[in-house]
Amino acid sequence: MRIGFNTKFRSILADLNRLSSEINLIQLKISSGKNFTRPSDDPSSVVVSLNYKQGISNIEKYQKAIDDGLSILKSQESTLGNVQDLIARAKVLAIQAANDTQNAQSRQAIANEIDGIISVILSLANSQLGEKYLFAGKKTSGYSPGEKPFEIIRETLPDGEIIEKIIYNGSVEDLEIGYDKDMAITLGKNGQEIFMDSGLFETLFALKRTLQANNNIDYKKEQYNIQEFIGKLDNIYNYISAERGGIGSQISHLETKKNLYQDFRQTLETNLGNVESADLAELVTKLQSLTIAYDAALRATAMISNLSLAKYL
Amino acid sequence: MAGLTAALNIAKNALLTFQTATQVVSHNVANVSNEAYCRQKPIETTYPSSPSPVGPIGSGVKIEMIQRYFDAFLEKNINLKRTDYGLFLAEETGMTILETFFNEVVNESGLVQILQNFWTAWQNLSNYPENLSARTQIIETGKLIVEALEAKFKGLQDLETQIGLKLKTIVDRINTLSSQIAQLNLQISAMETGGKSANDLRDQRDKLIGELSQLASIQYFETKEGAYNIVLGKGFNLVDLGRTWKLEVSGTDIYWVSTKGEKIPLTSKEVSSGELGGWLRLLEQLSDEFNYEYVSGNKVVFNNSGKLIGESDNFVSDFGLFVGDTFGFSGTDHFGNNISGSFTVSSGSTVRDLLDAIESAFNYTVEAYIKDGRLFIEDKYRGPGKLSFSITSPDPSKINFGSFDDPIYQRRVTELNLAGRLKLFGEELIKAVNELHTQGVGLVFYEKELEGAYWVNQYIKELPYFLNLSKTPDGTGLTGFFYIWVKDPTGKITPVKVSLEGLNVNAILNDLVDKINSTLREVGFGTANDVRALVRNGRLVFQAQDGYSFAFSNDTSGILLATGINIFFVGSDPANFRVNQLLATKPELIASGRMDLTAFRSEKPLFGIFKSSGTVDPSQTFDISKLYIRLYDNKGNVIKSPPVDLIDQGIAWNSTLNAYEIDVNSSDSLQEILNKLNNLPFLRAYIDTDGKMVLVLEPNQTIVYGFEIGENYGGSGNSFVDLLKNEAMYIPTFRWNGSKEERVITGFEGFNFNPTKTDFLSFYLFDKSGDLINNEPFRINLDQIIANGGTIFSLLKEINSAENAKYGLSARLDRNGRLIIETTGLYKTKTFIIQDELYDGITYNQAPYNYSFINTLRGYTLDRGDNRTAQAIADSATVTRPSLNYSTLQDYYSSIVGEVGSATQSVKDSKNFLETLLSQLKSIKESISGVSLDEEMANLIKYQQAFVASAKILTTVEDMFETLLNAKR
Repeated sequence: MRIGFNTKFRSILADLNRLSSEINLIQLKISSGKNFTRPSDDPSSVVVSLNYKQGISNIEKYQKAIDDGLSILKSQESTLGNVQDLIARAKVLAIQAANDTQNAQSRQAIANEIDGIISVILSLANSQLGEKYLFAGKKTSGYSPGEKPFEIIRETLPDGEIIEKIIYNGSVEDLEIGYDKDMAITLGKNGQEIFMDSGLFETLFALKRTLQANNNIDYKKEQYNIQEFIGKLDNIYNYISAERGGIGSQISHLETKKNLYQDFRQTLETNLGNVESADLAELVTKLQSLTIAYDAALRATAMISNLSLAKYL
Repeated sequence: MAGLTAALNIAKNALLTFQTATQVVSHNVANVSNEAYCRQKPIETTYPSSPSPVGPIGSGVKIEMIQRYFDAFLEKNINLKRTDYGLFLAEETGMTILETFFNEVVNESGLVQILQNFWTAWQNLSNYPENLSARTQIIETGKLIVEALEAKFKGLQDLETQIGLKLKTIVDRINTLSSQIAQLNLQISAMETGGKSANDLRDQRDKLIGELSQLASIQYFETKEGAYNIVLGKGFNLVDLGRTWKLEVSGTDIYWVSTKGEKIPLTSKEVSSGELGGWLRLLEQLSDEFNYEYVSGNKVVFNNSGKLIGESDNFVSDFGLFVGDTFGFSGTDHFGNNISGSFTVSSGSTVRDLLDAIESAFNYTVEAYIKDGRLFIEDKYRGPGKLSFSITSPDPSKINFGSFDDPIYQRRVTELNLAGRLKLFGEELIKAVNELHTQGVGLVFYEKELEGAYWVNQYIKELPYFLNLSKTPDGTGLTGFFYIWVKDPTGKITPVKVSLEGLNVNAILNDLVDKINSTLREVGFGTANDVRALVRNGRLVFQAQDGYSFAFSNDTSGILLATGINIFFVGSDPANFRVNQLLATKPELIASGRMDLTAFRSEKPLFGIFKSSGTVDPSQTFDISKLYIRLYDNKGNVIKSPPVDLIDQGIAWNSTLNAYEIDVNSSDSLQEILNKLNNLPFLRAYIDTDGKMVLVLEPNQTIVYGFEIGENYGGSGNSFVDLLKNEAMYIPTFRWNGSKEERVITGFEGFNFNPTKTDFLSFYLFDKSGDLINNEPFRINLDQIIANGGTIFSLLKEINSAENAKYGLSARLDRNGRLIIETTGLYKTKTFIIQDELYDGITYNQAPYNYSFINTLRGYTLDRGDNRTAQAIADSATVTRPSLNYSTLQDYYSSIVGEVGSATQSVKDSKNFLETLLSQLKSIKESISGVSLDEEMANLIKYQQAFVASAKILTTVEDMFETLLNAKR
């Protein structure tokens, strides 16, 4: 084929351009550490890496929620554990008081201790994590000053008798967190279900009153057989146990989920790294071979550009 | 003459020939690096021979012509490839700029990352709804999204403007090239009349053609005069011998100007290749207006004065129609629904009235307008659809819009372009957040006033999101409802249900305000202007006096979103929106929770402490012999066996009545009776220090939640249950006559029921997606319970009954006698709202706020830990949306990025491929037309030697002449 004057130089120029732009691209990849610098470098990998990143971010979101939920649940569980201990103590006291060797004064002392137990349980029911009340259902805050989820009310009857009861100001709706797409878990139960429905306070108040009256059964004054109290305290203990067990299973559910998320996240991050991060060894090797090729092309250009018939005439 | 003179002549001619040949060689060498130059070669022929006695004898050499080495076929091929190359060159430049807007690879500033931060901020709020810093975080990330999206759209717009400038440059260059080619055409035809080819001029012209091919897709061919005629794109003349046609640019529109002066618009359909085609194609990706289909009439209409039809033209005076003439029209809308309608001319009707009638017939899903004398019907929905239209006019000779089925005058969309998809993404993002936010409530209610963000001139149909409002199946009316929650100065919260039934799609905003206000008045608000709605400057405004505040929830109609009440992002156009300023100044208003309930507890007890209204006489006696105490558990069920055995106290158990039976003497005073009652476990009865009688459940027991009192009345004298009734102690009571129970007090007496209308307790049940289950509430007829002799306990049983289990509710009393209603979690019920309703035989109306059952019991509160709205918004990142082809917001945007990336990549690859191809073709062309220095050097030597030889002949012949002359001497 006839090679014209311009053909030679044009193809040399084109090849040099191609080589130098490839060198430039590899240099960019090495310095940024990523396989692509713009979406057009490798569009399918870019979309895949975006999906991974979004997946990781979603998991992070839910992980935070789970961590918060776990701290609430664990606090609830340990508080209920304390409550159970107090109930057991109350039962021991009741058994003690049922013993005929006790008299009015000793029973009065036991009644005082029961009173102390009631106040401690009340403050446990009002326990907070940060600014949130643990057992107030959805109404975790927003109480007027001095108001609390569980409050004690005292009424005096005309004959001098004092009636005490606990009222619950919190919400009857359970606290929820979302820990996965479209899935929410309730964080324990609200105070109504745990404390009020168990009959805990009523039983303790009645026990106290019975003891203060030296175990006299007087239905008019709502004093019952002390054995009943022991039975009731057992039931209440089991009820709280069941609640605590429920919370425990929610904790284990969330912990499983947390571990799953951690594993999943690690997998995603590894995959993301595979797609996105540049393999430096490979790139440096490529860069070397390209620079050699470039050098060779330059030399070849120098060699052939000298050849011309005009030189010899 | 033959012989020496002839030889001399031949030598002389030869010398001249070789001089010319050398000149041609020198011309070639001089132009060796000129790419447009085709090498020239002198073609030698012999002179015609002269006759002689020995036969014809030659007369030397002459140059017949200078041949230009040029392959037209190859050149045409190269020009075609140049056009394609121009297309990809232009597209590559544009796409590279476009790509920078979507470069999500650089992490921290990409829109994807900003969106993630936004969703995370909402999740944070869901975990800590009371936390103010979580709220400010949401505002800040929201603002970042606004900036990022606006920057993208601005970038697209700037790119459009720049392309407009680029188009101007290209069009100017095309026009210049056309003129130059036309001039060369004339020169070449003139020069070639002598039969010789005008080599250098042709080289120039071919160079210009090459440049023009790269700019636009052209076709050219040579005429017999040697001129090139050029045609642009699909048949627009550009050059014909010496005549040219011009292209014009206005903004981003390109026109070809015909000989009559008519301007024909050029789109990428007409000019599909070359740099011009490339920029036009890119332009069509950047503007959202290409995503809306339209149909238009194919006839231009002129009115009687000879001007193009305008929207304010009057039918009677400008077209000569008569009053009573009727236009009929029909067609299908975007979804394929058939529509039809007609319009009758009256004396004042203008063209705009006809257009309004058409829009109304389409239920405002299209826009009708007149442009350049033709009638356009443009779809308001984006994307491919089934729009069609046809109109019959009363007198086609006076006014004829033509046929609307001509594909040349339609625009059909097969898929959304880039700008459309980005806009769709932005709109869905705004809608996703706002839809959930309008139905939520923050840490506080709205006080004083709340103004909607969107304004109208008059009609509801002008609102953004009008197309998303729920409508009746035939599309003519609005449906659905929303709840306003009003908090009065005592802190009581009442839900008010505002229904949009009965509003026409053509209604004005004031109609909506009237509906809201009349509903508020129905519930007892609004008469003293304590809470009301009004229209101000075209916007919907809610106002409340001091002490009153309000919130919203459960909007099944979509009107809150449309009017811009309680929204997060203000604006429906993603190129121009912002975070609601009100929320930025008062972050407690950011909706994190909702007002509808999963469980309800009344504030006042349903069965609490019963105290007589006045003092009682403790010595009063009664004509009764027995008192019966029937006990109930927390679900309203009768306790059928005695919980405590009281035989030792003298209290028997009556198993017929399932009650404790207490014997009463006719001489027992009230005080003694109360003491007997007090002896019962579970019960306390006494007269307090104020002299009032008190009956109450023992608070410290766990079995009994309510009781009923019965007596067997003697007939004369005082009745105990009557005393209770008269003293407003509404404990359920009955009289037993030995065989039948007669209800005396139901327990509902304190609730202010309506005497004339039927009182209902209505439960509006909502499922997971917020829709009303069964489209009907679950209603309990309270008047019926009373008529059947039931009590408040019957109500509990009714709610808990097996046949009502499908509503997913359960009811019970708590230890303090308060009514608790909860969702059971079964069936579809997720949340509910309880209301009192009154039925007058025709419609159900809401009871006034201080009357009836729930309104008296109260119990609605604002739970600050409620995080349902915040959680739902955080989850909306991963919810699939139907308008996005069931992909999530994140995925949709990623796919846009991916598409831009892969389109850019393919364009780059094509361009590289064509570059290589062009290079190869040029090498082939060079092998024919290119100058080779070595060849020219060889030719030079050849001609030099030939010249020397011919000169030698001259000297030799001269010597021979000398010899001849010397022979005579």
